[in-house]
Amino acid sequence: MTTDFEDLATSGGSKPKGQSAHTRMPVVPAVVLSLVVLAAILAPWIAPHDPKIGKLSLRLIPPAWQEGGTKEFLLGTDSMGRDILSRVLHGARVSLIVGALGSLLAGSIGTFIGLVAGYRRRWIDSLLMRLTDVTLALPLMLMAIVLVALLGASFKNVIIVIVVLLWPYYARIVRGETLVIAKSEFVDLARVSGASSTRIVLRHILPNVMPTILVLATLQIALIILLEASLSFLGAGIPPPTPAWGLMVADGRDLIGTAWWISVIPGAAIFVVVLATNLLGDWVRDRFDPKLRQL
Amino acid sequence: MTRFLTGRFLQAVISIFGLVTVVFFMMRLTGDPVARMIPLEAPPEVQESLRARFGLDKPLIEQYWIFLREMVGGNLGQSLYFQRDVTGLLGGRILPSLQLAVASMVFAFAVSLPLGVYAAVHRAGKLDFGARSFAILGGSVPSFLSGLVFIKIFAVELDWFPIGGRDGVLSIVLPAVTLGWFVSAAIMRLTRSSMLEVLDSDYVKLARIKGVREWAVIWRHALKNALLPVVTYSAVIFAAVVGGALVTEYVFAWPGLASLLVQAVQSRDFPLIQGAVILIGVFFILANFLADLAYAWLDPRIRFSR
Repeated sequence: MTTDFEDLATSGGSKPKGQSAHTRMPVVPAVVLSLVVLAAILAPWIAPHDPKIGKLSLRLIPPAWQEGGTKEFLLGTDSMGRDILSRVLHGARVSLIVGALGSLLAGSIGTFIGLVAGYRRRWIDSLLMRLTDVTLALPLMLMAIVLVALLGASFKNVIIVIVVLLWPYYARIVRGETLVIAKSEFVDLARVSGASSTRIVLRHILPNVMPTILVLATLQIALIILLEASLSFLGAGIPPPTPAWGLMVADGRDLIGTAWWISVIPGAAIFVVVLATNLLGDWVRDRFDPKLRQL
Repeated sequence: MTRFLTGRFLQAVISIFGLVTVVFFMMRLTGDPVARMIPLEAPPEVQESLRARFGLDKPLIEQYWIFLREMVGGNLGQSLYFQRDVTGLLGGRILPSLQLAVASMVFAFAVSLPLGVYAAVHRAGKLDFGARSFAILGGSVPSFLSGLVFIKIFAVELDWFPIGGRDGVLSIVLPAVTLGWFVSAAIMRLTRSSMLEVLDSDYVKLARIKGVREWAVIWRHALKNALLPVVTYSAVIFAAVVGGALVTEYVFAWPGLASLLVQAVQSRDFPLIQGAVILIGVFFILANFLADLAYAWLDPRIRFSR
């Protein structure tokens, strides 16, 4: 873990002004994240046990390094005798899919609306601004838990809620950048040479907004993973018996005094993934779009 | 200043009205409230009588009007789970929530302001590195993990604090630290980056040239102005408090509004969800209005304007 912090210290934020923001890619977070992705993909083949079915006779076995642990269950078992290692491996799929799908969908929708509003202006623009005012006005987590409660807790609804709540962030930023770019000379030139609006937006404006979108998307993946985990932990996210990390932490909440591993191991998994994504996100931001440093 | 404040006050009132409206229509439009209360196979007569009892057979606009009128009179309906009026349930939860929010903010500011200032002054030094690690850790540790680990270490193993609940001064320490750490990450980052900007400004250089002592330059001249952006971003900070409280109150079984909302969500108690969201939202908007007051006072450009 210490190496992460060394990378942190050398990342762009601490450089004096005027110095290039081109910083070294944080290697440890990148490697950690690649391993997690790999584990998620290979989960059905490398997980030693079934993540959803356990034997009650094998419940609450501590991790292998603790007294009473066995090599059969390296990270121990939960209160229903399910293997925690297998559940953590499968849980990586849930977290990563929610993070990737959520930011992809919210990013696409937000980018599209932001482009249209920034280029077309008129009523679409004012409608968008009012709409984003409303969505951005209240705490994200509060809105998320209420929306999931209304729609019903399910994988699909968690994604829907994330997209509904997060697209305005993209739309706002894309709109702002589009406004500026649409006024630049090369856009005027393209228009004079007879390019259609669609072509101008797709070929000339979008590529220039892309770095900002990528930066925001990377930073938001960590936010989404944390949001989903918190919702699942509170019982307003992914429903059981899916091995979602937040849900696993909730399973062990009442046993924290006697069987700490049930909560702490999946909790640590969330922490590691979110930390690695945040560190990578900071790097992407400093590397591609120092303007966003305040985010 | 009066003009600025009147504007902000009107904005707050409009926000509250908007919040109430959005919550009301969200509750009605995302599904049939009666279907959520009773099993699907219930006979139609039962559904009809429930509909009439809750006034759901009236047109939506009329329902909205009744809802507003009742709310102004302090009536937010009946909780399905507790079988008590929502207003009474919420009322008992306000004080604990405010206590926890204030305690965690005090902790967050006490830790992150000095840390942010030192990190900016000794940029790229060991302390900067440590402070930024603290912030990025605080922003990446889910509160339910830090909360549970604190319980395991300080309540179960060391037995210094109670495991949960609200009983005596000691019981607030762990939840306040858990929530405060989560919040302090945002404050630390903001303080650090705005201090960096201010330390580079002309008036700070002038103060140094005039021979003002270094601690006075930093703590008196620079920090006061560096705090402005922190106040501007108060909405971000308060949002972190509300979001963090949802998890923290639940982990520590703290009897506040946030844990009541979680309970209402888990038992699908929609009148209670509605009331709790509105009340938490109103507190959020009021807190932001107070931050605007602080901003107006801190910024002489506004303080001395008419």
